[in-house]
Amino acid sequence: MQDTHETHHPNYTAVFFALVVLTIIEVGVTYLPIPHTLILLVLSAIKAALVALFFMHLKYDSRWYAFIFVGAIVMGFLFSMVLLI
Amino acid sequence: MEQVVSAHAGPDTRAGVNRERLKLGMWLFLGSEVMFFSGLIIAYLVLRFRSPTWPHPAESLDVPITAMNTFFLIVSSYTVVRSLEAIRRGDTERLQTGLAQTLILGVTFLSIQAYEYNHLITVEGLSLNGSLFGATFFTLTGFHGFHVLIGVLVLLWVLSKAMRGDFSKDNWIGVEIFGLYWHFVDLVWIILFTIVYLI
Repeated sequence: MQDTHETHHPNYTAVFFALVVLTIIEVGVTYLPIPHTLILLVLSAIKAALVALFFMHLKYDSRWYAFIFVGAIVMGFLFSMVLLI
Repeated sequence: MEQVVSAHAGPDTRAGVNRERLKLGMWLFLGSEVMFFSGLIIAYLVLRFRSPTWPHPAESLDVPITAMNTFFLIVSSYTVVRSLEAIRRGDTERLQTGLAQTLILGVTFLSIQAYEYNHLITVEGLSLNGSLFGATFFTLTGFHGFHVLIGVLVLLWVLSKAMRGDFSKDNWIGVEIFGLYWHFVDLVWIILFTIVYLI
């Protein structure tokens, strides 16, 4: 694996605007007379992924960091499932 | 571990190794933070969707002002990432400006949250032990706010180092490590804003 961290410069401004637009859509959706829980969860997950992939450089950094992060999310959710018992 | 080290060790091998160690440490810490917030978030969802009644958040919470606060936190993530980009080019002035902007945005977020808490407690009568809604609301947003507060305090330190000229084109790991924490706090808020305020 090469040192991609040095060479990749994501378009942070585009990511920023995407986050703002998605937030506006989220708030807008709540005013619509449609079931919106699933839509909001999906939009929120996309926003969180944008932050992790680009602002936190997970897309370009060592895969180990992504493994730690995603692993923790999976473990956190699995452990918390005991609450459903 | 060896793979992590070798993946980024550039010409300045020692600095590269040191940088990756610090980043690995931060990611492990963030992993533990993920577990912490996952527990809280799932506890909230289970309590909420198992309760026979639950007030619609928009009835007592001020969604527009919190949406504005969400915007401030997103902007602050952007200013941090631009600060890092600046110092990697060796632009210390933009680093200082970017970190100062982030500090203002972080303090603004906390101030709005304090205003919101005050309103909810005194006007809406919401409290930590008055209802399940109040208990979960204050626990989730309170722990997040505490993380922002820690971030602001660390940012003060990073900014003072930047003002002293401690960072340069070859030494910016402190900014990157701080940035990882700050972005994570932003990421958690993105989730909390949706599940606590919008759903």
